[in-house]
Amino acid sequence: MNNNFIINEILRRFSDPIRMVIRGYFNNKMDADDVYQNVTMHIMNKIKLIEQDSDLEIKLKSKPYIIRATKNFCIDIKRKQTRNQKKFYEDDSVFETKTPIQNENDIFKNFKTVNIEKALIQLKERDRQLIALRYYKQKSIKDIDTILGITNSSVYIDRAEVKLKKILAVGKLPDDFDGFIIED
Amino acid sequence: MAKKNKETILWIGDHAKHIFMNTDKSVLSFYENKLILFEREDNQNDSDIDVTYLDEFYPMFNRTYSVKDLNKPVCDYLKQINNNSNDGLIIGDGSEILFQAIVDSSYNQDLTLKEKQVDFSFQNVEKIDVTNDFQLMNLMNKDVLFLKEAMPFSDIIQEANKVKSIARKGFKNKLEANKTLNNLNEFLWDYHDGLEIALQKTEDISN
Repeated sequence: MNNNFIINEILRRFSDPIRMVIRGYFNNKMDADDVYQNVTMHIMNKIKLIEQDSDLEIKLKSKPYIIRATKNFCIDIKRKQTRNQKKFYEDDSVFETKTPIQNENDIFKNFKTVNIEKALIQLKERDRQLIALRYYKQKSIKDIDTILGITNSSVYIDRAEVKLKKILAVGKLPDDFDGFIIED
Repeated sequence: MAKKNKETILWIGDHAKHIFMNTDKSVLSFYENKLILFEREDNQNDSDIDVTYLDEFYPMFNRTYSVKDLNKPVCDYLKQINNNSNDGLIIGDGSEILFQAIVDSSYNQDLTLKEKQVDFSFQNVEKIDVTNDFQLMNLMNKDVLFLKEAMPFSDIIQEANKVKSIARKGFKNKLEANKTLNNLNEFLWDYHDGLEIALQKTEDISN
């Protein structure tokens, strides 16, 4: 059976803890990504093994096992790097959290995410989808065109942004809306 | 007894989608099929099927992949498709949090417990708004089919078993595939003819 859905579920549940552990060992984004990939491959192989040997199943608890495996990978790679006398450099951009794209025209600037969420739910589903793909998933315009099977999605994204800005700035807010808070 | 109207089947999560893709199109055509997945795989275009990606339907800027945080998005989805009170079948894998969120919203034990505590407490105790952001959905007209969990971890299987016990109270009929399946051809043919026949192919967990 195709196990992709198992690995998807595992990574959705544990990608944050795995990345936290890796970050404890590596500041370099490239190394960290490598370790993350290795951990993913390791889990996939383990799942295949477990399928073949049902006795393994009862011994494993998901989170402790995955964290342990991640730590072991990190230690292994650290040792190898020490042997090769590689130098690391600091990179604060490692593992950026899922936040909207930040730029000078950022529509989310000055608004707290909770209020953006409240405004977003008032948009039509298509507009919400466009905003989500562009700003939440940070897809390129070309990718969005492919995903949605449309052309010139940038035009539609612009329109969706205008609608969102309008809701955030002037009104049409839900009754329980507590006002948007401008951050310092 | 044959059913006259096209019933809706909600396929929840990646495992359900995997089964859906392997199920015979001719049997699927007897039903109105809707899929809901948490997120789109890289640049995937499923234009030929009626699929909703929850994180695009309800952008989750400040929500995590947990039952509690998915409650509102899934309830909004169910309301939008106006399907929560109609008959139909929900199919999913109890080990997937997306499916757990839907089952949990049909009957939340913690919430009921808290409500009871407030109801039977003394007058001086101020009534607590236990609902807060949490929503309960009425899914009592629906059947639910649990796919056999493919998850290899014991704690996640335990989680899935807890979800099954919640489903006993929140749905009309609760069914469980008693083995790992690659498609639901046989079951769906039988379900189309009537629940009793379909029950022979699954394990009834209602009692």
